[in-house]
Amino acid sequence: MNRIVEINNLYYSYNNDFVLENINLEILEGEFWGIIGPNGAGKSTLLKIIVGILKPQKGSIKVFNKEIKYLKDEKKLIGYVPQKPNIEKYLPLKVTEIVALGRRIVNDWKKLSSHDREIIQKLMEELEIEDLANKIYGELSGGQQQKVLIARALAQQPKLLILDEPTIGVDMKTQSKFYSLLRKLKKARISIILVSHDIGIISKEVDKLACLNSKLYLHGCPKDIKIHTALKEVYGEDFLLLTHEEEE
Amino acid sequence: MEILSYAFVQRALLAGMLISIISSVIGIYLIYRGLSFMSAGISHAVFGGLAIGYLLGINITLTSLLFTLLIIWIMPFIVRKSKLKQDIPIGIFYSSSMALGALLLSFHQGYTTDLFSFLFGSILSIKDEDLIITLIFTVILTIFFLRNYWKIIFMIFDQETAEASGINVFKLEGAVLTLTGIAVVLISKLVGIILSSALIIIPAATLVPYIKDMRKLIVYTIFLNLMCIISGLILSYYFNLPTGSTIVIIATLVFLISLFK
Repeated sequence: MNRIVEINNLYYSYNNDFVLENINLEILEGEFWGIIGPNGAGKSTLLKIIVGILKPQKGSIKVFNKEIKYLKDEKKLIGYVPQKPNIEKYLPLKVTEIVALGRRIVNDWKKLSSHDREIIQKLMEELEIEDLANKIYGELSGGQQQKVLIARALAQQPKLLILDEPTIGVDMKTQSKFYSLLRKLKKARISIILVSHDIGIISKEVDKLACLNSKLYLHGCPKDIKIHTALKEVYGEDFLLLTHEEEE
Repeated sequence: MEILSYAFVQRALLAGMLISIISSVIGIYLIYRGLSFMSAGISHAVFGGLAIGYLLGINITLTSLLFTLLIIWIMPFIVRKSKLKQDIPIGIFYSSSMALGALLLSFHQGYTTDLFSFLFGSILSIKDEDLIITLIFTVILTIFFLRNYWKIIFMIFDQETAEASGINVFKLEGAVLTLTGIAVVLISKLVGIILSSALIIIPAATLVPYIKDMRKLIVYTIFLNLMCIISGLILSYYFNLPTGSTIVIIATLVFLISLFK
């Protein structure tokens, strides 16, 4: 299987405080990775390094088998939904226009074709935001705004999808649809990295789990990781993890 | 109308149309990027460049342009180095440009008529060469914004994701601010250093809260800008008022009225 992300001996610090230390990770094509860890564990920093917003201070990172600094057109294949993005909410942009940005990235900013419009329409239906098509982003609720950002990232039809706590503020019904959409994407051999604090869902949905708190404490298949031990090690607290059976 | 029969008024109207396009596009960009203060800051830098030109005895438009661009280009490095919010270094740096200008002008012995027209503008005495330069710049600016429209929109909307998707935000913003610098120098020649930032910001600020479609916002802001310029020209002609100031006062009145909509 193709390597999509390859991280070796990665270090990153803010004002000499290391938030990432000696990170080594390999993400293969079609793998669905979950990253958990407490606040300030370096999860978002790691994602920002993978998408090329931050430069690694030490170590190397390859995405699609290329050093991150040499990525050009390949960047179009990375869909990214940041945590609490610093968005200009009152820009007079309609929801459709925001989702369409994803297609414009792929098309080198050329005009949208009818095929592009079909993709946008289908995605908006899947995420149940088609009724919001002509609304301005700033007029939407937090959950609706989050769905729009997810749709924009998916509109790129990415090969690597990076999601930093994407379901914050999103209702349970949409979360369930969202995870079923991620399962579909995984089947289509898209690699996914998901950061979430919802340990129950993440350990159920993902193929591989990484427990991060500056250092990578454990990583592997959730079923092989002793989740209680992992949580205690990463969060420094003992947890009681309750799982719920899904009603059909 | 008698006023329209004069060649200098026709030239001023044409200049007004071009300025409306330039200042509207730049104004909307600066407002949404949270950089409204930038245009006032840049106009102060123009003064510094103007004083250098006077002292060295070379073309003041050229020195104003070069000095303004120099300040714009080094500003990101100063912001990064100072670790302060962008408006603080802008305020410090541009006030010092003004101070530098005043200091340098104190060494200048001689006539400074051009200085007065640069400070308060002289749209009615615009020369053909200024008009041609403004026209060429308007074409360049329009082409740049049309070609990069969605990239700029994406950068304004969500800079972090825009950067992740391959847009070189540093270069793109640098290009827009370079165009802003040139625009402020050109507009300053017509309405004055002191008033140029008002013309860039006020018409856009009047409409931004009310128009919910970007294309309409651009078109309506250009129209409002032009209306302020035309009415300012007419009023200043008939009542013998300073044109630049009249235009800005009208724009401010329209802004105040819009608050009660």
